Amino acid sequence: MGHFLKGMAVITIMALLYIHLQMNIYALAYQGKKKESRIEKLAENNAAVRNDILRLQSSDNIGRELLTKENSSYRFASRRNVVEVESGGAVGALAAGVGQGQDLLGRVMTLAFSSR
Amino acid sequence: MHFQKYPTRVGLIFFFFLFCIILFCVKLSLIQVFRSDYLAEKADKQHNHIVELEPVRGTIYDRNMRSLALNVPAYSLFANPRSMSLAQKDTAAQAVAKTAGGAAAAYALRMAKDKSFVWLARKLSTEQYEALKAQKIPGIGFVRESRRFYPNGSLAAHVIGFANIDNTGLQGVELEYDHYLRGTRGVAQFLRDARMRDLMIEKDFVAPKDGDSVVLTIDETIQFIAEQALQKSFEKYHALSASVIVLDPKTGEVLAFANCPTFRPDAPEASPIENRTNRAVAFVYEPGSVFKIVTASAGLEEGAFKEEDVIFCENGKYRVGNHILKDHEPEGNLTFRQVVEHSSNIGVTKIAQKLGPAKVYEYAHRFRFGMKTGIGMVGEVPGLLKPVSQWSKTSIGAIPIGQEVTVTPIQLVGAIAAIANNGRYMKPYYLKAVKDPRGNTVREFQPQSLGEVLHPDIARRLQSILQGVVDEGTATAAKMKDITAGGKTGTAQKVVNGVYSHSKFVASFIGFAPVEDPKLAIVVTVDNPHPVYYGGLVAAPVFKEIVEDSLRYLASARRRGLPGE
Repeated sequence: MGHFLKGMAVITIMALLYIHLQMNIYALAYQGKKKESRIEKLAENNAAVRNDILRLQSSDNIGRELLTKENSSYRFASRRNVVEVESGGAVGALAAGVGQGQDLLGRVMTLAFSSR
Repeated sequence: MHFQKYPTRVGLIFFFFLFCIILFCVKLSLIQVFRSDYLAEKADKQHNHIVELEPVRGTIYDRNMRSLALNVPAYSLFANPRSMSLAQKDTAAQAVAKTAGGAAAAYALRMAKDKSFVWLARKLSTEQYEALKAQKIPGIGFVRESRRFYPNGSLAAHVIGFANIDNTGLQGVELEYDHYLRGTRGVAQFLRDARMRDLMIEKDFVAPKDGDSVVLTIDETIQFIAEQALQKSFEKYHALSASVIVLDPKTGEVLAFANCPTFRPDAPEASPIENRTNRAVAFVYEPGSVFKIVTASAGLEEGAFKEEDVIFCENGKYRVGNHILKDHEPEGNLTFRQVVEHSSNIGVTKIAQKLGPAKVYEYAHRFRFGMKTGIGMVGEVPGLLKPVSQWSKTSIGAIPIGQEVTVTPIQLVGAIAAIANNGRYMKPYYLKAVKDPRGNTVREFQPQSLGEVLHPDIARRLQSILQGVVDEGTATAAKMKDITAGGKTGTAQKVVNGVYSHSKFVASFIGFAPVEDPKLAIVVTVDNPHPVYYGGLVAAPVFKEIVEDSLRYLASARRRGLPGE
């Protein structure tokens, strides 16, 4: 009788432990689901911003904003509008700095332009 | 003692409990033995949720890896009518109709079904989704899907095409390369709790395979330049339709490809179906004088004529069979060069007569008229080039000047590109590469030569003659200050009720620039322009505008070392 009661106690404790673990798993699953929703929301916001950037930097948008609007003075630069500057010296350093900035801008805008 | 004192009562209680135990055992047997499969299946359905995982459709890029079409998240709205009361269904129908559009009655009808899942609206915009979510309408929910997004609006619509609400390509690149773009669906099995909420416990998972991306030869900026120039002419001359194609003559790569009128790929149903027709490959017409490049090529290549050979142009009237052929302006003696520059019908007919029908046909065939170019666009037609056996007595006065033959704009630009490329015909193509989701190149497409149409020396001589057309001939409207160009104009009468019309024309210009090192070959066709209808006045200025801006853009991009240059 004593052995039987001890055995039952051990089984009961192990069963309770198992149930506790299972409940923890489910609790973590619920928490994970909440975090997943938050991450999904952030990813969606990121995608929306990215799509807005793509739309704004598209040739269609930039072209319409800069080139085709009435009274726009922007045109594609011809050879006469662009002056090649030698690298080195004060002017070269200035041009290199401007060039770096323009590279960043250029990569976003992709169109060369100059005002008349 | 109680048993002996109250034997009946004890017996009754005993048999009552025995009866209950037997009843329980029978019920247990029924559940566990006879209905176990059914109940297990039902439990499985409740607790396990199998979800199809949608792959991300591949992106369509231009040659410089700028996105032309990509997938963005979009929420679709569903309702669970079984869990909704009549009042809730009515509220939901009104709210959805107000936010997403459509009739409330239609939504109410869908929710009248005895189902646990009905779609109400697919792929809502972000604003619609946020507005509906904020209202917290009971009984409705959202499923996250994706939809196609075209950052450039209608730019290159006829090339890109469009996909349907299930992200299946229906036209253009979306259709032709759907097998690359669509990817493979995955599947995941999640556990659900008693409230049917998914838990982050996966039992099974097969990852979706996202679609490959395609890189086109199209240059987004040149495409914009070409579309703007074409649209201006289309509107200014109240045309029925117009097309432009810009090729790199050395490789056959299509840099721009546009038709007017056009449509928005994200809302194709908003435009008439005619707007979605890819006229640049599917529109056949009698080309008129642009076709004279074939006869001129043959005349030089066969050694039958030199540039300064004199041809008498009959002062503007010349009988061919039973037909009187006329020139636009009566001319007397013209050199071979001047015949092309001034686009003399009589002069070209005399060149053709000296060559003979077989030679004219042979060179038309060499320039791939009467057959598809093989560009790979759905709907391309071969046009019509009659074999010599079907030529009539007047055909020698018609076909060389671009009548009794039908062509497509893509055929014309392929031909002028061959001349610009020193006689070598490069197959036009518009798919540059296929890349996997990680950006690795899966497949690359190379330029393909379809043979030598003309000897390089002859091609260069012809380039010089065609430069004369722009400098001094019928295409002076295409002349530019800093850039040399060569080309040919065409003003073709349309056939109306079986007769050549005197009021309906197709204005064309085919050309290349710069002459010394051609970088662009262009065809411009404008259908039924009015009141002005000459190719030199309607189509040639479009060519000029495209060349000027495109070459400046290409030079600028080269200076700044942008990718793709």
